[in-house]
Amino acid sequence: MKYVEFMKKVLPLHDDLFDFFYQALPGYEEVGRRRILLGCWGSFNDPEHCDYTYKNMTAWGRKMFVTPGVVVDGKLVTTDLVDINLNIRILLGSSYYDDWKNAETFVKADPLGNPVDKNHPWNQTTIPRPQKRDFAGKYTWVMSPRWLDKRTGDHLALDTGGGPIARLWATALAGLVDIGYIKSTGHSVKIYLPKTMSKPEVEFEWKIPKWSNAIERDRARTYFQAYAAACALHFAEKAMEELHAGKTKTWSDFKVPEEAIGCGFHEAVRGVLSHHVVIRKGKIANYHPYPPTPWNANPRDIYGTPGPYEDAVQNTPIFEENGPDKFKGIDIMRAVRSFDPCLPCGVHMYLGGGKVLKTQHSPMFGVPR
Amino acid sequence: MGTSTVPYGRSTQKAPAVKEVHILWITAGLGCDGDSVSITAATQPSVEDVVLGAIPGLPKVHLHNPVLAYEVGDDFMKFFYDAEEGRLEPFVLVVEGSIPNENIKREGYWAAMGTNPDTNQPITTNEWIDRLTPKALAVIAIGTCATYGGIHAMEGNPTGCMGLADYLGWDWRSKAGLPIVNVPGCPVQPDNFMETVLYLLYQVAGLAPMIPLDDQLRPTWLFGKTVHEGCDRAGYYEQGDFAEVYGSPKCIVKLGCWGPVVNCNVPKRGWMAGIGGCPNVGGICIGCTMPGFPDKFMPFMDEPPGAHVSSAGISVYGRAIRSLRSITQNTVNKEPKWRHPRAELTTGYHPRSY
Ligand code: SF4
Ligand code: SF4
Repeated sequence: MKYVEFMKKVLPLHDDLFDFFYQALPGYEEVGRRRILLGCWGSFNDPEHCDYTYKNMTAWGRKMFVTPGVVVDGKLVTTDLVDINLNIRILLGSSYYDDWKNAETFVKADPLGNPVDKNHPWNQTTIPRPQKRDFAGKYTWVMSPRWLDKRTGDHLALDTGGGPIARLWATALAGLVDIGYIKSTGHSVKIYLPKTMSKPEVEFEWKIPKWSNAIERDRARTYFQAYAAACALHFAEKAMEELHAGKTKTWSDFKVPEEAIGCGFHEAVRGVLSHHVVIRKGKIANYHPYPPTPWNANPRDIYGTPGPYEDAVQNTPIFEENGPDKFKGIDIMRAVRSFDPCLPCGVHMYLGGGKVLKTQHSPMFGVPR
Repeated sequence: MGTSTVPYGRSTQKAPAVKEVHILWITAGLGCDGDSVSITAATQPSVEDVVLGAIPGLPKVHLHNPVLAYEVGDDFMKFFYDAEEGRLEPFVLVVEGSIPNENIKREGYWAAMGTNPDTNQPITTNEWIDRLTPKALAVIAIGTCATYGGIHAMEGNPTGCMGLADYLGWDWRSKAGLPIVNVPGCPVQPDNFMETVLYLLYQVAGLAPMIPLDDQLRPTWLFGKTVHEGCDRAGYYEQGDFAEVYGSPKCIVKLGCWGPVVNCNVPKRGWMAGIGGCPNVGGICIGCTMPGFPDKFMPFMDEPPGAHVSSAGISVYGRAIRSLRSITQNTVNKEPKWRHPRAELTTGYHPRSY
């Protein structure tokens, strides 16, 4: 409850701060802005519905307390975990690996009989090929995960927006979650926090923003903290019911099968997290995890599509007022960190002796596109 | 009161032998930055305590860690170039992540930090280690990857990676005569690391004798006891009362706990602010601090050898068990032989076999 109270204090404060950015720096909405291409793999399973079988995955996926979904240009394309699963593609293009065209195809069809692509994680074979770094060719160890939009045939470079913005956006549009504490309306998410020690009850509402940009990614973080706190209250109540009913078992027995395939979809803090495994003779024959980092931090793929960081950062306006000599790249940092707070370590600006990058501080950027 | 009055008790305060120390931290081994993240949870002492001068007798500490630094890009890298050129004295080098074998391939890099202005290619982590270790006052390997190789150094890995001591040599000494200091853990227990840093800072300040290390270069006061010796389920073990399923408060040795042969203080110390501690809270110990991790502890969910002997009955307790134990303990305290810096890959890697 201390945390619930803390959220009541901190959420309005953050809201003010982010609004202030827009007021004080007109045009700031362009920082870290990219096309709305968000992926959320769903979070907080409902034990009443989730049996973890692939066969029923579509149904129990939609019962999650954070709805899985792919949002393209503000439209919800799917909430179906099977659909999400089958259309994941791992592409090369700028990464230090050989392709696996001639390697084994581990999984030809999923348990429902749907065909599984050679570039799907179930069939990926990792063949490292260390080589010189060439920014016009191969330049990273990260591969390029994409989601195939069947409507257009595009391999979309989805981002997680740091996690929260994708979770809230998919959940808001889907309109599936209603637990009292949380209500998805189809265009927003209502978050109810009851009375705490020094604060009365409050209802926050996260409304779908106009942009997928640095500020809105950061704003969604604070809302999702409140969202998680509200869910926690619901879960604590359910847990108490279980306890009072004498149901205290926390673990069920399992046996590793001789032959099997498996997959798992969840949200890590920073966004989508999937696991794909192939088991043979009781051992792991193939395994590929896809946490948020490769989705957000990947390079140009074989089709020339840049990954989200590159996409969000290229042509981003610079509001920093330090001259070229003292240039810190704060706006670029802010853009990248809005995808991933774990990445301050990875984001290091190289200015190429101050010649390559120019400081572009101009009120022109206040003009909306 | 006179303004210039010196308090009587000030005589108790000792000035450190060196005024300032830099801590240069490389997270660019093969790893997940998990140790850097872990230590932000330390409280005994905290990072802030050390950096902001909360502890009497310490030199002023300047921390340069890429996860925690304010500086970015050239501003951050500057300290590393300065150190290399002898313009940042004295400094302690912290290495995080497994050290890849860069000699087993023709070009490219497995792990790197910064860009070489002459070639425009990344500067390998190994090159940084070569440049900086001769100049460092002390070198600390943080986490199981940097200390012994860890998960990346499993059988069949493509990078031929290894621990820092495998790379530099186990009898390597710093210019001040210190061996490599290993603080293993996957990730490192936050206070174990910060306490080790504190000890070394005291030593640098001339306020502590040579840090006591065991033959795996671990601080003895942190790694001298087994998990089992600190576990709050040991009473059940002694009574031969073992859990058959998870979710039970009894000893979980039959579910795969390696506690009896693993050097780690986590059950005593907990993870954050005393909370947690693998077997205490129902998680089998998988030996994540050990030189033999992970290979010698796999498959994780099976009952370990030696567990059977002792769980057969409490009457055979005592010396017999303990000597059996030490056979296993010696094995798990040894790294597999494929972790080496020779220009050949002997991990059993088969590119297309999986
Ligand atoms: S749970 Fe593990 S460490 Fe604890 S008493 Fe049992 S064997 Fe020892
Ligand atoms: S108790 Fe075992 S698994 Fe836990 S930190 Fe210590 S060595 Fe690692």
